[in-house]
Amino acid sequence: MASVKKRRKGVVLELAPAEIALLETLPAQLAPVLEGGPTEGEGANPVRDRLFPQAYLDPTEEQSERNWQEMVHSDLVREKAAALAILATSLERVADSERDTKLSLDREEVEAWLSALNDARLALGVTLGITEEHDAALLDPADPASQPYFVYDWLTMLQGSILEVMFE
Amino acid sequence: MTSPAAPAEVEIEIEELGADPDLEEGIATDRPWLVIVWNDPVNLMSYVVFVFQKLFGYSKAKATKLMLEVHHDGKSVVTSGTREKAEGDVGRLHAHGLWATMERDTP
Repeated sequence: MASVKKRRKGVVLELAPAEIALLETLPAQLAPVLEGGPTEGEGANPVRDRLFPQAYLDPTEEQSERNWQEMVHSDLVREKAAALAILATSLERVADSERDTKLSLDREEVEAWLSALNDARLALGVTLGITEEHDAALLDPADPASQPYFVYDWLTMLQGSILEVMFE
Repeated sequence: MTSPAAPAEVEIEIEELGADPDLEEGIATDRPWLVIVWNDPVNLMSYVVFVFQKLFGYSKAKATKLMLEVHHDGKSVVTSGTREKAEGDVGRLHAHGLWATMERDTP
């Protein structure tokens, strides 16, 4: 299990090779959601709807909503892609590790990791239908169908640990 | 013979004034836009506190209070102001993965 320790201006993660390999897949997994223009019709792609929600719920503000989406969508995509790129770049420092390896992240990298991990969890959360009642303790490790839920829970644990040591 | 027409004209003018769209917009813009963050099952409580502090410069106590409102009440008003400010704040919140919307304050 990954460990997270505080450093003066960031954190040090200790990651197993399988954990590094999992994190390396996140940019490619999220890439399809970040491609394309503003959301075309709600419900067409629930993951995109969650990563890029509507600003206006009031149907009489439909035009304002369209204008707003056109104004911000490409910036939001660029920002999310940049966070994933920082995650990927920092992981290159520990690529091909064969044992548990320490990875130091500075403050900027930590914030990018928090965003990237959050987007990955939001996307997985929609795909897996995660609810408030989701309980990691109830998963059956022997059931292959539990696997993506373990990935989700591990990402949750990592993000939570980083927040805990960084900001408390 | 012409005198009864005068009051009727005045009445019509008052009705038209009341329906003036510019005037209604003027009244409506006095009400601020509210930025609302909604509860969702994925975002961590600690992450939501972190985002409120980072984006709006809130104290940990204020950020925690707003986060708990989202958690317990399903939503919380986290900032308010002009339409432009609210659109900017909603964009920053979406960049950080929070589920935020905006609506005009009710009179």
